Amino acid sequence: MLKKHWKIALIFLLVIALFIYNTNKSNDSTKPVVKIGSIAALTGDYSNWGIELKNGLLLAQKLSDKNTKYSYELYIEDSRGELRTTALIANKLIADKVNIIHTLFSPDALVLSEMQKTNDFIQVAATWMKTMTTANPRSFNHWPIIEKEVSILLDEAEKRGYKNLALISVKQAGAEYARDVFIKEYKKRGKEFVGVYDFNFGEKDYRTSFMKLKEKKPDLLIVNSFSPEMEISIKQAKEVGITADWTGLELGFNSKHLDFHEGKWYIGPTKMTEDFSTMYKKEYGIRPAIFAGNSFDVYNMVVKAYETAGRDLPDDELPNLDEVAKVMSSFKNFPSAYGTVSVNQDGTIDSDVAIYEIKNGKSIPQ
Amino acid sequence: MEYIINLFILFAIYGILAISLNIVVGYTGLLSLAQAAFYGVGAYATAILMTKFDMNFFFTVIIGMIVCALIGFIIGAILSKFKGDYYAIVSAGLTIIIFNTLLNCEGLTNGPIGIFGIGRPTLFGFSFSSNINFLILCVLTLSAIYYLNKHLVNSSFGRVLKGIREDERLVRVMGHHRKTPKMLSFVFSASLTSVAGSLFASYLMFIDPMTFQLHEAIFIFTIIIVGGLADLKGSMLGAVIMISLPEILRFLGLPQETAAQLQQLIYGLLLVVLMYIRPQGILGKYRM
Repeated sequence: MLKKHWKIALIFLLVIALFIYNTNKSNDSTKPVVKIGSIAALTGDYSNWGIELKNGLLLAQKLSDKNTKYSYELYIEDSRGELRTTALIANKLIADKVNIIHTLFSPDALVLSEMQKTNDFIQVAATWMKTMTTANPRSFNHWPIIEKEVSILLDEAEKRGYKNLALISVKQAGAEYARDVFIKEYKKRGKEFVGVYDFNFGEKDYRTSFMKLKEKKPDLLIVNSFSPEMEISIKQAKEVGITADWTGLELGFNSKHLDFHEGKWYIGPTKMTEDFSTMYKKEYGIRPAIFAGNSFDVYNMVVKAYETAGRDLPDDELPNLDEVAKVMSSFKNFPSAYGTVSVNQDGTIDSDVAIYEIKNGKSIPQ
Repeated sequence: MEYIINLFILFAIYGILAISLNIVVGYTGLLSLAQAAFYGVGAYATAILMTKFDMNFFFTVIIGMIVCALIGFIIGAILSKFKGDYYAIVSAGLTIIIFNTLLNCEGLTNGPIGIFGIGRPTLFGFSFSSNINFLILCVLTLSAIYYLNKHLVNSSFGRVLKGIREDERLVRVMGHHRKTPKMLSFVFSASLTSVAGSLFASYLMFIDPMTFQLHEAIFIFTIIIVGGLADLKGSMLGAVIMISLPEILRFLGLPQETAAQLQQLIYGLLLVVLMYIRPQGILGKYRM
């Protein structure tokens, strides 16, 4: 028995020794260090998005100008898609005196938003919910403005002659927010969806709801969800006899089966530049996906903001966060992976929106 | 330091969850997967009452406990008819029902968007808003729950629970009810779990339904398996290991390109090794 306890103790001692060894490692750079943290699911169901984000950050760091006043370090952490882990690693990043934290999911952004009230850091999120950006002058959101995306989608639907629109939406924080914007925006135009159907995350059978929807004769389904539920719901809609066409917000980015949506159009963030796509492909061997450009921009914006805010300061002094946030807020036509972006007064980093069509399994901007 | 304080807060919250579950699983021998449900109800009771009704945290804890006890009483009465795998399936069903309720009762729970702006507790003008004060509150609560449970498992009622775990028929022959103690242990566990939920909501200051799914119930179950069944100290040790191990792995200095995946791999391997060496858990007295 004693022997077994020793084995366990040995394993833990080994892990703790490595822990201590690594926490004692110091940075040998003589420049003041700006620490950029990132919280995203790098393992688990949504790790594809997290990995894109990580790749974008690492690429930006690799390609960045090394002749800067400050040194920039990355702290990329895996949230595993769990809120308790997000809170813990946010505290770890705060303890590491990280200046900027980049988050990916709406719930993560909201947790960080609460923490900003008592801790010093700038948050840059990538979320449909802009609640967090308006709450704090040190919060930014680098994602197309949802109202703009919805409005363009509804305009395009009208232009293409669709009259009876139905909305199918998953119950997930960001999607739920988008759903509410859809309803509000359509109401503003004096119209109503012929059907609005919400379903739980992971739900697989929608046929009963679709039987009712069939009677309303929709001609366009706006599918506000993710793979595989997105494809399953469309397939079942067809099965029950709904002949409507379909589209969605960022459909080509949220789907893992683009060939299923062949010939369909959708709205999404504007296409990433050829320059960025080539650099990314050279580094990782694949075309960049959506969050790669996002995090690439965040890194470059932070560097630019720090270098600008600290221009007139002594060499060993970092600018304070309010100064950095102020500089970031003033960015107009900032060179980005999406062309150019500008920062709005409420902290929203406003990038363009494009209409795409899926041809030969690829999203082609129109 | 702040990070360490936050780790200890989570040790305490998950310690409470594990102790509460150990009463049902370790001491009574019932495979319950309902813990995430009561955890969620407690968290939402605090979140709703504090944000919508401006109620004091400590009142919300009491209300959460009462609500969970009532749900536990109704579900426990049904569950007491089952044992073994059937008990696990029905209790998992409760977790799914509660999750769907939290997700769909938008008027009350704000649905998938969740509730944010939940405050930290205050008592007679003293605020637990700093993390160190909040940790003290969590540790005091954990201690109280530990001693309450220690007293319970050493009482005659605790011996009946252990008897049910070992041989239900024998307990019946001895003239004891089988169903009532099973139900009471479930109700007791439910109301204590609610306390952990309240602390979690106040700690995070934001909650959404996604936290309270079946995988969370499995995680709490894993804590007591690793720490040891039918041992209260084991529950706390399990919580420390399961929360700290993945965190410690963050400091291994693995290459950033593959760090997250390697951390998960090492975490899984360490758990397998641990279970191979001590299948009854580190301090466990009872093996499933």
